[in-house]
Amino acid sequence: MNQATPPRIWIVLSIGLAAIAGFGLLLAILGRGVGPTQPTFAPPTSTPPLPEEPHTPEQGSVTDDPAVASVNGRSIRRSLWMEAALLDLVMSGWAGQSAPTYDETLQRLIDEELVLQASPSEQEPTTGQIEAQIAAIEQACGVGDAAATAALEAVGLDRTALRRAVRRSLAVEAGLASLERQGYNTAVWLEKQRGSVGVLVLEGAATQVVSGVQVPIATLAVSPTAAPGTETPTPERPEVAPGFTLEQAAAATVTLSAQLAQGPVVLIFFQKCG
Amino acid sequence: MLALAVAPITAVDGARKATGATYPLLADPIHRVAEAYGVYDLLGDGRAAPAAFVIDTDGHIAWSYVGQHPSDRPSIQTILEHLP
Repeated sequence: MNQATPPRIWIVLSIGLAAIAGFGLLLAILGRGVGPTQPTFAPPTSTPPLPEEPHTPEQGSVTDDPAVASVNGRSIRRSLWMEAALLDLVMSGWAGQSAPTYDETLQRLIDEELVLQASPSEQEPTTGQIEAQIAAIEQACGVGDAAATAALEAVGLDRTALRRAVRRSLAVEAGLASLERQGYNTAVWLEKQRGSVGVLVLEGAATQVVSGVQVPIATLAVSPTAAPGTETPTPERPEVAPGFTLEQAAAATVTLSAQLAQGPVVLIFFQKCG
Repeated sequence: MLALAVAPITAVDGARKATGATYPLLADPIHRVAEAYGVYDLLGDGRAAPAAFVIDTDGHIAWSYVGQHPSDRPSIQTILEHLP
């Protein structure tokens, strides 16, 4: 039995990408049962201040869209980060979950970039594949096209942004599958990559706009340097219990934190129903 | 105690009716929680591996057990021994 922090990729990807990818390799975190009787989506409610409007890379100068992280020399720009954070917010709302923090979103983008660099897609996802994935996500969350579009527009995005994110997630999913076919434990592999000097979060560039004032985000760690050949211990199970809110049979939802307020919790995973 | 399955709510509700369980049975249909706890699809069956986690009131996992096959699960006594 291992008790340790789960690979960040699994936690972070599950929050965002599992919502985007829908199922399968890319995961998540805080699940909530979404059955056929689920009503319309829950729009984003109380949230941290939204970042400024994302700039598309084609608009404005590079100084208007600074790099917030660098992965082996390739920049992750603020516009991508902000768009990803807003999509995470929307999709978490669809699933009735708490949205990931901006840092969690950024860390996910870094992990994705590592995967994409290591296993570039041999074939771009087709429009049909992207639309099918979006349809699957909407169906899983009980969200119709119109409602989904409205939710995106409420945060200044559109379906084009959603398609971009899904295309990226499909490419990342393919990259992860490629790594696994090559025999890698993707969690171990990512932790090793993280330990390299090629991954940096650029302090100062990573800020959010609150009422027009740039506010430095709480300290973002610069990835440590790992000695060549050093094996970094890679935990597979969390030390801190990931929170969740799930639908309960014949009753309202159950939130882990509310249960813990009443005392220790024994969480049993069972395989079969009936 | 909370029991959780990678299954739709309808299936979990069926299990509740079949077993008469009085503790919460939860649905994790898109296996987010199972993945977060590192137990999803470990047996290659698209489900959560049989597992138990004891979580203290600070939210830390005090003890855990993850089965290596479908019938590999800790006894109630073992779980009780690890309650904080």
